[in-house]
Amino acid sequence: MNPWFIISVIGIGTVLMRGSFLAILGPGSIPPALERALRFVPAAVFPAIALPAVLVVDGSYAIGFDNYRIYAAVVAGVVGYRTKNLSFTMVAGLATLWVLEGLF
Amino acid sequence: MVSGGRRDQPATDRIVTEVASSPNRRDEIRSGLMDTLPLLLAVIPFGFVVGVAAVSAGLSTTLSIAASGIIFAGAAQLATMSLVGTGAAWPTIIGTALVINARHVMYSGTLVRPLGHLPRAWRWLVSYLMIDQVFALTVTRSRNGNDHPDLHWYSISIGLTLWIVWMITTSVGVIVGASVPSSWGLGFAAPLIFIGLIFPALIDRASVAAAVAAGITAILAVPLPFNLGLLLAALVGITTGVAVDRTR
Repeated sequence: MNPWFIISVIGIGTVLMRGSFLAILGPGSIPPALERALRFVPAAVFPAIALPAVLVVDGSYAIGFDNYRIYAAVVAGVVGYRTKNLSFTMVAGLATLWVLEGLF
Repeated sequence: MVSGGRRDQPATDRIVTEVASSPNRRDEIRSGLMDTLPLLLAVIPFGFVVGVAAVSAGLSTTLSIAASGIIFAGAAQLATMSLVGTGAAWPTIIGTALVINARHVMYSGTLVRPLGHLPRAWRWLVSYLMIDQVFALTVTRSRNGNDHPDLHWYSISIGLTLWIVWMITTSVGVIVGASVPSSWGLGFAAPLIFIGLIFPALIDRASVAAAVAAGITAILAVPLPFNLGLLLAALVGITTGVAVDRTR
């Protein structure tokens, strides 16, 4: 199959999904029950993206004291909670990771 | 397509009118650009790696670069390239990429409340640019009481900046064809940003329950293929949030 076809179908499918409610169906298309459920999307999705990236390294679980990403994530979490600033959060996490990897 | 009886002037005129009459537009754009800065550290190496992966998979230089504009979704592009590289059947490649991006349907539904008032052309533009980071920042800002009619300028300034950076970095990856040393740990920048975004999303007991349930599910569901763990975790988290909300 022509790779241009594959890439184009994926691109069109992606933009149709991104536009599904917002651009295609539009306001008024969301029943109240779904609206209540969508309220929890950020709270559910952000940890679901972040946590596996901390606890899984190269496709297998790394839950232990030798996984420096855990310490980096905890430091980033504390800084994020206290400052509500994404730059500080990320720099604190990366700096923790680099320091620990440099020391041990 | 009739868009709710707003056919009195052409879409472009409506957009021009709106631009001219937006006192908060500059604030939104400035905030968007500022909030984009920390994301760049995550996006730049990612774009580079996706560019390298595309040429390594055997795509032409033109298509490798065009794919970033056509798909504009890092995880889906990376999965597509690795499947193309291993010679997978085309329905498998398309199906995998679309399953990975299925979370965008949820994002789209969530954004109707803060952005649904826009003319349809704007809603398509915002939709096209709505990658994870743009969604995350937009929904966080709309929750912080900044839910006013100019919010889309915030989303678009983030989305366009990331789009330009994404095109440049994938192009560099395609042309240079080498790889950022993984020992720099820059792959960890993106999850750190999402860690920073968790706390603003925890607005009540039900959302905390949603976050805990989704986090645990996501960790347990890592072995599932095609990013299905993320979708499953989101559904479990949302269901938990709704259930806890009902017990009030």
